[in-house]
Amino acid sequence: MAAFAPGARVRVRNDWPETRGPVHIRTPHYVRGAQGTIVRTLGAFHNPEDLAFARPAPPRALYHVRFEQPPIWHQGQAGDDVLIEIYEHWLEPA
Amino acid sequence: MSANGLVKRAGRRYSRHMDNAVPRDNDVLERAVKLDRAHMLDGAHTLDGAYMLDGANMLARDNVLEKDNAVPDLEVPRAHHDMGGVSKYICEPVDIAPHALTDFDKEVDALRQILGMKGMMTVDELRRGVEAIPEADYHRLTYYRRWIRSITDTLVRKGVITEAELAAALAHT
Repeated sequence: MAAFAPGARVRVRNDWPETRGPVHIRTPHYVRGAQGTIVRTLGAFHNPEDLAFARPAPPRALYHVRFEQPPIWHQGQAGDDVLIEIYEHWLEPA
Repeated sequence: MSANGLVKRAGRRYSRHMDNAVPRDNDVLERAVKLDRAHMLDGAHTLDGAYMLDGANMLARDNVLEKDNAVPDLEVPRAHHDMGGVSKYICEPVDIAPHALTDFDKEVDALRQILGMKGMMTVDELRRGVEAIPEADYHRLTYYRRWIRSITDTLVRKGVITEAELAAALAHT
């Protein structure tokens, strides 16, 4: 079911649905467009972006994705990570 | 409080904060202090024309602050509640002391759980409603007051309760 395997390089979609109307998004602004690495799959969960609007919410694969911290926040040292839970529909192969 | 008082308070607060922080160099510290003062003065309109933008335009304000900022913020259309890594919050000391829940807090939490169990409202709807609170209110409200506002908005929007019923109930409190 999961499209990405641990170790796969991915890019977070550089998309801003919040500019197009009311939304509930669990992908933080600071990783949109950033490249990271799949660490593990966490299972599939009903899409919170739909649940938030009481719409039918099909299951979506959820991943732990690791990013290098310094390029994101201009803080920390090489080797520092940011680990974020991101749903599959926000990811594309890098 | 006067602008001068705000600056003094910001200075004291920042002094406490910096006791536990390790600035990378004096330049970073100096800019961070200026940034913190700018936040305290927000709305006082005395430090710099750059800070006269209103609170609803957080994105524009962040971009202005970036020029005078140790950690440049992304120039992106983030929502006001999407605060991770934004420099102004990095400069704010975080209160990590445990605090007791009030009866109000517990009642709101219980209400949300009951609504979830009855299928009237998901936790995702709760979060959506919290994120929809206008910026000024969002920052003013406590955690569980954001919750009750979201719960109320959601139940009215979904027709579980009406505005009239809400007004009547509040009149009895």
